[in-house]
Amino acid sequence: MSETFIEILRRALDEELARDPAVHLLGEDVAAGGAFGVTRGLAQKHGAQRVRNTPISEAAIAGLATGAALCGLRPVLEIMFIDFATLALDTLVNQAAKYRYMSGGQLAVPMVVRTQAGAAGGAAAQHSQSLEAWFVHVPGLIVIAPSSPAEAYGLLKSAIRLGDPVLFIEHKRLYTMKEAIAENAELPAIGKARIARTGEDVTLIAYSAMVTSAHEAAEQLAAEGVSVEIIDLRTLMPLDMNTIAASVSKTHRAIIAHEAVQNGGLGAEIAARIGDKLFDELDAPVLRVACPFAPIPFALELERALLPGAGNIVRAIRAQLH
Amino acid sequence: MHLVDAAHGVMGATGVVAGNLSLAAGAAWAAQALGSKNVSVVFFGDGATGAGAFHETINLAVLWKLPILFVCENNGYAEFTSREEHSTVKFVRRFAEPYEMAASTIDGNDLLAVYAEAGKAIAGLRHGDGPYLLECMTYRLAGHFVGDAQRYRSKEELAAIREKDPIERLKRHLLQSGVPESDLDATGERARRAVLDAVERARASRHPDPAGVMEDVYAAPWLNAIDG
Repeated sequence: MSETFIEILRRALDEELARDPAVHLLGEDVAAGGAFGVTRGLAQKHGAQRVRNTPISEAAIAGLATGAALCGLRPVLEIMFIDFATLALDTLVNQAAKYRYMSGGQLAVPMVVRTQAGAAGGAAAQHSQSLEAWFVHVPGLIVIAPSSPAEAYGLLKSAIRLGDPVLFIEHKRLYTMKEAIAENAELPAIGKARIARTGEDVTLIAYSAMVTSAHEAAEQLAAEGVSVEIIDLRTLMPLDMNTIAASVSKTHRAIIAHEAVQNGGLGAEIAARIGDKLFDELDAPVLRVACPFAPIPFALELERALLPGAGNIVRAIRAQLH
Repeated sequence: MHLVDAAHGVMGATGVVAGNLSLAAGAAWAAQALGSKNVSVVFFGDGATGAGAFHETINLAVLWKLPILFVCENNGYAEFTSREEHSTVKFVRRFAEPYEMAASTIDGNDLLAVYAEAGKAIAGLRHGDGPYLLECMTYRLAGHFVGDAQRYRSKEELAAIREKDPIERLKRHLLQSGVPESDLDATGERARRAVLDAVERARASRHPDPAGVMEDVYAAPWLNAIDG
């Protein structure tokens, strides 16, 4: 049975609430279903104490979740937009990420922060950002960015069971995407990338909604006789360099595509690592497809003009091959 | 600064002013959710009331009736700047009023008053009465950090306040109550010895092994020492 990204997230949360009494959901409007309806019906099913609405106080609710995680709960906090995670940065960066280390291993923070990022439908500059690189930069945090409903289902469950603080980034453009999940499938390991399409000529590394654009680009290029291998990173921290290395050693070309701006983005890190470890394998410079260095605009034609998509990837791969 | 003794319920101190308040509320929420009789007690200075997290946390604590005791040590100084320069709100207790949180201001240098008031507040928390703000008026006898030259306050101001040293006050009270001075001296000496021994033990302890620098970044062991 096909389910949307939103329905599958709800299913994963529902099952985790049922599996482990320590799991609690909290966030703005979550008892009412949340801004996108992900948690709809869960408060009725699991009780108002397990699925709790909070005030619009990102700093306090992130701390609340962290403190509760230190003391025996497994909170799943929803930060409605990643743009609002800026208000919770002290907790996420200074407290949650450091607690294990600063306590000499006495304590842990088994917490998932679900948040929603990326641009779609004119949500504009303060509801559309892709800020994942900030969090990848903080030792102690895990960062996950699923590319499809089925991926999100397994990765969210694995994240809840991991035992470390996880930032789980959902792309709003994927929310209506439909997919069926394999029943009783094994949960994916955190930190393991996935070969989303096998190919021979170029390795295209993407994550989150950009994996959809990568597939579109690969289809177009296949018609031109170019065979693209797509790596869906799934986990941004840690990076699965083994999967990247195996692929680049085969194709000898690498392109990284993300919706976040290029400057200081994850693509720079991956390109640097490929340069460090696989320089002799490369037949061409590593290229990046990313957002130009501007805020996300409101007008739809401007949003379209700015956002990188399949066309940008196709052009980059053509340039790399010639 | 970052002391943690989880086995004894000392869950840590943060280097970020006001950063501990919401964590403590989270500990209280866990106690509430798990149905334990644990309560959360969090200490902060008057300087923390300038942070939004203080107000956000109070609102949440009252709203969810969390078993948390907010203990404010109002010592008149936030780092090097006096209370008057930080806020027009003289007493931190006043911040509890709009949220209808139970609160009181007491002489924080009166050990017996602190003991009695904190005991009452904690009994209330265990009874499910919701959070409590205990404002303890006090004074910082030492500098903000080791080696603080304290140019921001006068020697006279410091000398006057030493008179109110809570240990000396307790001593005077116990003497008046008929406790022999020799008992007090012996107790004082035992305490001094315990501290000196602890310092001695710490100095004699082995320094950490640099080989362990990548341990405990993550709880999952395989995540430690990975290449980012």
